[in-house]
Amino acid sequence: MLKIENLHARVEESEILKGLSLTVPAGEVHAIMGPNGSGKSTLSHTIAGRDDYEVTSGGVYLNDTDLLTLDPNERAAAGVFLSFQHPMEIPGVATMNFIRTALNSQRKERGEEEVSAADFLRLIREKAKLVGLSDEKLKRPFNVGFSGGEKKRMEMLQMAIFKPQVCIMDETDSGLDIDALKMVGDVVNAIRDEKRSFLVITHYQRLLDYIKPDRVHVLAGGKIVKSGGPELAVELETSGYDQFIEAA
Amino acid sequence: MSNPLLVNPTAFEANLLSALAAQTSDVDDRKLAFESFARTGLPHRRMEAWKWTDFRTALNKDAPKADSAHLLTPSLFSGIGAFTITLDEQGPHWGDNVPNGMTLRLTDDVPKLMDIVGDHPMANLAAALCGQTLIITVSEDAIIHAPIHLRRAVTGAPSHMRVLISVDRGGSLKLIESIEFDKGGVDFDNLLTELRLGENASFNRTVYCNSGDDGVDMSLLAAELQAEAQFDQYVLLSGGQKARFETCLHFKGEEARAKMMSAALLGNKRHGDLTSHIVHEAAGCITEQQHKTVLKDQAMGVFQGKFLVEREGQKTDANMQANAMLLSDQATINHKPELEIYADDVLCAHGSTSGALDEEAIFYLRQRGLTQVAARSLLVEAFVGEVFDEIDDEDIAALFRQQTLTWLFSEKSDSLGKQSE
Repeated sequence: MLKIENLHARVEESEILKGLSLTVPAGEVHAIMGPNGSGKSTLSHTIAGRDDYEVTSGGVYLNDTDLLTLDPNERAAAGVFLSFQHPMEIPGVATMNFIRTALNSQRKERGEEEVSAADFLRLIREKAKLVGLSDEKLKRPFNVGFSGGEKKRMEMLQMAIFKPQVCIMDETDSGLDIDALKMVGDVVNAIRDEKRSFLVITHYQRLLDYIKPDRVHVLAGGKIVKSGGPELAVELETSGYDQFIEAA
Repeated sequence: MSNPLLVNPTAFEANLLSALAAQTSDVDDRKLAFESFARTGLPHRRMEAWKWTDFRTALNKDAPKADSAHLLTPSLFSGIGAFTITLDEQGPHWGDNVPNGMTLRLTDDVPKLMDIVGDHPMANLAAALCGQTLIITVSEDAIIHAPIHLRRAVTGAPSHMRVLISVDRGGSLKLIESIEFDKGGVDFDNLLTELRLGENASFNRTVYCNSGDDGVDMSLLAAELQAEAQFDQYVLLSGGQKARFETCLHFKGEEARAKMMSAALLGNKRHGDLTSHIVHEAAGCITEQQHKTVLKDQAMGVFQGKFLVEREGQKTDANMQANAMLLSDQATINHKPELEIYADDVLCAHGSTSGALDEEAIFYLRQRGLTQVAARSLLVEAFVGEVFDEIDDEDIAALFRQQTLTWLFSEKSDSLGKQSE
């Protein structure tokens, strides 16, 4: 279960999150929707532990773990995964080597045995098939020369491999065509179970056609201003965010 | 003090005069070379080509005070099956079983400097003060399969050495050159290498230069390439108190090629200068050059690269890239890429970048589970690894990658963010 309590956070001198509270029980998918500049990406990066996002008060807990006391890599090992809105291209870093290093680094932090090269190869090939990435793409330097959609597939590949406790998907649907949207839905549905939580950040309802949320929250002005069931996303599609911007 | 060979010499330059007087043979030829050197004396910061690498200041004392007890033994390259030629206090020497197709000999003469060396002060100094000159000749069409390791291992005193290499038409030579100190450093090592590469000949040179924290080191290679010759050079520099690695290539025949890949890893207060001067004076020649520098602590890096394309150099294809990554805000990088083109049908480009590690990339890697140190070191390895990926010999590429890790995790530096672990 991910629990966020009265979270205040700032970037440089600007306070972006202004008392945000949210609970995502294990096994549930919650969608966060909101206008540009409302703090959606700040929320995702703050949970993941980005250094230059300063938490001034409040708390973030994964089950009984106080995430704010952990470094980003320790949060990853604890089970936090952030699918980036703009995934990095990292020239010179071999994709498979990096993902295996990351997986084993997390496992080591948790006191688990490392995954052997052979087992990892089987694992990544299986998951690459699920997300639609070819062997040729896996052999390239990390994300180099990838289209926007392929980079999102690489994010989903890692999410499928790491099997985190909480998956934060920061506008994963941006720039995706219909087939890729369906792929994202397939990955989420494949790893969705009673222990895993999802926080799906999006502007649009269309991703939620493929990932059925349990709850939908509207984030505006740095806090949750409205929560509801899946019907709230449909309502927002027609009414827009103006009413929330004005209220914030 | 009045001396016809050097006006107002520094103490170190006065010692050079004493060394010249001690030479017993070919005094006139040596004096001619020394006179050429003496017109400028040791190069210094008021000379444009040396403004970032001031040897006069570095050597402005009776003798450098390097602790020369740290020569790496055995050599990093001891396990790769090379034929070794050692350059030490005894001069150049080697063992039995010189590879077929290659001859080695020493001469007391002072062979005329290649014209392309011009009035290079350090080259003239090497010619004036070297003991015996080593001459390496590869016969026509001879392919020397085993690499030749030229190990620079003078520890006791300033050293001036000269090597002449000739690879005749269709011949092939693979040369490894190293100077290997872990701390301390070479006193003052000045090496001049002159290379003649015949038609369709190939020359593959791998260089590792670690002159030590206190070492002062100069290496100049001047080469002439005939038609369809191939020159490949892979370099890893670790710098010294003052260290310059210079390459001067002249394309004399058509459709010759040069590939020059280099990396410099500089820490502490070390200085590392990579300078090149490539002259395209024949048609259809290709140069590909990439240099990457990573700096930490208070190190200083220098890259000076120049492509000169003469009127005869039509259809030249030359590309130069220099990139630097600074891991410390006290480190300094100086880049000076230059193009001078007199032909009207060429493809020439240069690029230069410098910057810190990408914090976005570090966060990305840490979010995936890598520690701060692991994330930063992975990005540095990836940065210089692009150079090592070009090395055909897997053993040498692996050795350079290992040296990168050793350097990254060496003492004193917190450039990887160890303090935050």
